[in-house]
Amino acid sequence: MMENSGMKKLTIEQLKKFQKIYTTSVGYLIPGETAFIRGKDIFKDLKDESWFSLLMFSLTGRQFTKNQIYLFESIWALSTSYPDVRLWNNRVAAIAATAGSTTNLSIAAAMATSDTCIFGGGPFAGTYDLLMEAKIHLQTGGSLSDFLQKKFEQQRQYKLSSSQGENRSVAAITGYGRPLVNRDERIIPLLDKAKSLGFATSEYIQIAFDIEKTLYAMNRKMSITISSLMSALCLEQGLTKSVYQAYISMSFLAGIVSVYYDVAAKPRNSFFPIEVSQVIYYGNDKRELPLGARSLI
Amino acid sequence: MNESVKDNDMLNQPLETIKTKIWLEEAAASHPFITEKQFLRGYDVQQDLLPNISWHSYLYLLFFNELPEKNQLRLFEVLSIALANPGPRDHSVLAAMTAGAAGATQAASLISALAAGAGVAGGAREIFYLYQAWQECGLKVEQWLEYLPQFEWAHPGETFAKVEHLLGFLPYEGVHAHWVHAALHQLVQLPGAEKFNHLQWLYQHYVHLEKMLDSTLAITLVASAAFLDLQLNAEQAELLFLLLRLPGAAAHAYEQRILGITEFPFWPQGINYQPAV
Repeated sequence: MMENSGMKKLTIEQLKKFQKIYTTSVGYLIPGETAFIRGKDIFKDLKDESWFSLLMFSLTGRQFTKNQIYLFESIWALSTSYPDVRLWNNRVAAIAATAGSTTNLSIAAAMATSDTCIFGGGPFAGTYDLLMEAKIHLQTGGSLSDFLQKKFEQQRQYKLSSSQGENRSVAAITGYGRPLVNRDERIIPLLDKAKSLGFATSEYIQIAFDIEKTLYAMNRKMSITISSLMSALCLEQGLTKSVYQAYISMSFLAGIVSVYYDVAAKPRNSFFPIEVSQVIYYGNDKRELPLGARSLI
Repeated sequence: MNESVKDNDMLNQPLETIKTKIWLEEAAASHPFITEKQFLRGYDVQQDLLPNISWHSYLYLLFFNELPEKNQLRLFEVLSIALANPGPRDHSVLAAMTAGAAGATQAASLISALAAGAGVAGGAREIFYLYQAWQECGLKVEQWLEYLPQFEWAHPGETFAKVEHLLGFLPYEGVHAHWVHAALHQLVQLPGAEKFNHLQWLYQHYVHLEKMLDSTLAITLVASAAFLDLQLNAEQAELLFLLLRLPGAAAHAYEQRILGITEFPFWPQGINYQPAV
């Protein structure tokens, strides 16, 4: 029998216990009376908190300062709130809106489409890991150019990738180089905002920008993108990866709901309608169904 | 800029296009937005496919350029039955039922089934990862025994959770009677099944794998073998695993919708609330 390293298996006894009891420190509702978040009564202790402050407290159990909450909110506001219908996640909401779906279905689908390899969830997760690994690499005496070279090599070794298409591949260095243009207009405004609040002082920020410099020195013209700065700022705030992913998951919401509302208010089916001739077919020529196939019913 | 000039400039842009090898439409002569004729992979949908081919031949043709061989078609059909209803305890079905109980939209039930059924623990992402395992281990038992306990998906930017169980096996200790054994047995008995290399190999070796890993075979490993024998790639297999498990989710969600929240768990005494001090 083999040892399963790192693999966890629940025993029947554990399962029997979990069947009836869920243990949590997050929250609890007493119907008709009140509800608790992290041990605090929502209507007494937390009644004056802003939604964002409540969100971060509920998620982490940490009491953040006003400036920290403002920073977390600004990361969403300045990085991921473009209400442009062409952006792919927004566009999903727009298509659902023009088709007359519900607000929540449209938003849910657009949120799911914010977990992609080229923007949103993929780069958020990837840059968080990249900056952590780079910091450790530097602490142990390595250089950024070795580190990045190794990343390029690893990228070539992956046999199976879930996100490569004919004209699309995952960035070799997650968070550097952008799908449409190389420059990211959000970097300076977010960095300025963070500095004005007394943040963006840590090594993570330095590393995020040093990676860009090193890439240019390696003749790879891949500029820093906002996801790298977002991750650096959240690493600086001590968010764990899973807390960061939970917090950042809704960051596109302002753009998505605005686009949904805008398209839903316009005539149904009027959002960039596609006529038959716009679909270019390059498959098999027209053909007769083989006689044998007719029995496959 | 004058509005009409701006409008004219914008109207002079070339039309954007969509490319497809799957689907050809021909417009009605009198309306460019209405389709008169449809062709799937070159076959006339209304004239030839509707009256003549089965749902699974059609589904196969959506993913492949050619119609299935008879043995492939039968495998596809039987696999679809094996996957169609994971049952009300399965995460995907239970999520769909929860949406149904709450009286959410029908689409919310299916979105819930997809979200909960997409994961690495018995869901569609496990199928995708198993393709990597098949690629790494091939038909070599020793390689599987070494690979599975150490599996880690280390690609940067993966948004799915970490794998915490042996891919392709139940997350419980021990070897137990499981319906999956019977399903695998049926798949390898199908006409022409001697050509299904992955399923045959799994059928020959699962007892040994289970014993050595002290775990029970799960449907994900069987399904991944069947998808490979159907010559689907990893992403197609992940998609079809999601799709083929939706019928049960839909039916159970509907049933629960009628029963409502009172005939569904709520655990009135189930929360052990222990806020950190």
